[in-house]
Amino acid sequence: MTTTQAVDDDVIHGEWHVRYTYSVGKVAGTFFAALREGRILASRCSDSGLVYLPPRAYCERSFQPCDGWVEAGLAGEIEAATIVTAAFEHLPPPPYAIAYVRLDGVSTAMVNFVRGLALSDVPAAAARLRPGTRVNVVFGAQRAGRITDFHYELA
Amino acid sequence: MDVFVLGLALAPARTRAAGERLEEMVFTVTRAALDDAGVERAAIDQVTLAACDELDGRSISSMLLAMPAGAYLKDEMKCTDSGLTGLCLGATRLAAGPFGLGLVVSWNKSSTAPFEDVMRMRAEPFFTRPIGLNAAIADGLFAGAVAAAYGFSEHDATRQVLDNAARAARNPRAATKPAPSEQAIAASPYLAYPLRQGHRAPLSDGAVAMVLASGDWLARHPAARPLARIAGLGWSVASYQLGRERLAGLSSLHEASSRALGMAGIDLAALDVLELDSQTGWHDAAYRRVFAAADPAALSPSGGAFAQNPYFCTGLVGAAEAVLQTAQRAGPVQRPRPAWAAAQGAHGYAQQGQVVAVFERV
Repeated sequence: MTTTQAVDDDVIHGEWHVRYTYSVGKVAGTFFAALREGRILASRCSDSGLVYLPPRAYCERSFQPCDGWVEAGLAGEIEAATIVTAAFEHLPPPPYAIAYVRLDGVSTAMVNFVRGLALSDVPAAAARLRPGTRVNVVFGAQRAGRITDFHYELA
Repeated sequence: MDVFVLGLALAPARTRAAGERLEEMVFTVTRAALDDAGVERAAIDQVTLAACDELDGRSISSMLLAMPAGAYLKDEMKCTDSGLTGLCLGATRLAAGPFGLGLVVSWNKSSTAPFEDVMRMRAEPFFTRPIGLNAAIADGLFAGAVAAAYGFSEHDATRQVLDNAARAARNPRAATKPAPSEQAIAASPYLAYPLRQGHRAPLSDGAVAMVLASGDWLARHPAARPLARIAGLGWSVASYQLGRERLAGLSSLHEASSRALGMAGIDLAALDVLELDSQTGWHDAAYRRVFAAADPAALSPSGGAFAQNPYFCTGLVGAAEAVLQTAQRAGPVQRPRPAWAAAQGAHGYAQQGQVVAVFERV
């Protein structure tokens, strides 16, 4: 960790550069491995019947371990969406669209980018991302076993 | 609830409290609250500290700020959800005994930290952070969801900003004046559609301290004059999943307000004041829909978050405004003799957590 400080007239500027190493774990690891193969695996709890994306190791309702995998459909329905038009530090250059999408056969919604949508007219583009709109999952040619291996496109 | 607010203080609200260190702000507001209550720190037997490390820019910020908050060698608790959650913690602890006199102190020098970068770090690193989420983006998702569900338009959001800002302009404790124009809001850029920069409550620096007393303590100190009774508290957390129902359903707000009002034994229509923690005009429109049974004139007479918005403790600022109303000390924004006043506070992405506190005139 590096802490840098600089003195101004009435403030001290500080920056922390902290590096973390997050363990992926078995469930996310299985999910990411399937992404490399162009598949989206959701975890399922036989007790509650809920199917989770992003996958969970446990069911939040039954509080039992998720005990199965379900291959999610590669299409689904937008639950919520927005078009980001401001430049935020450490986020992609705007504009870009994101959406929480509930894929077919899954109980929960998962966020990802929506590509292939003209964003020059933001309100018009947003009108095409209303809740209930159908989208398809599109995998990139190069896959790294990460959530960004795929994105959504309007069906 | 047999717990009372004996005194309080608000730090002068400013967009940026230049020339004042956080420790100085916290000491000044705590000292002022003790003076307002007419008690000394020696009489305090427990302190609740509510603070956010990431926004303060230091680890265990409430440990470092325990001393200026009056907690040196005192029994203390720390709360990291929000300032208003800290009030719930401090009040319920007094209600449970054996303590008699407590302090609740919360602060947020918003100008210290890169707010949206802090909010970005709150996203889990596997599935969400690579896509990117922060407060503005979450609030944009919320705005789109309530627009789709309830037919709210940009005009509705702008209207709420203007109305709140007009009330804030009359509030001597407000940080942001003068009120923006409709044209300025319309010309402000979109951040995350349909949320515009002008729809957001501007962040400010601020701090709040309250002295709480149990009914037993008041019985032993008959000369003490409380400002209000804490009549009801309610809190609730909604799902982290930002799906359609989670965003537009406002389930945690319904539940928190229902619990607080139920504990107080009143309904919404009985409230003379309800201070809202509306981070955007879209939130204000949605919250007003939830509280449609309340008198519209009762909602955020202070201007709410548009008066001052020290993000982490904005809900507790609203609680202080509500208590000032019951004590007839609200100044130019005073409502006529409120018997019941309440405050709502929110925390988390798209206001996942909700807290409501109800105060009764004494």
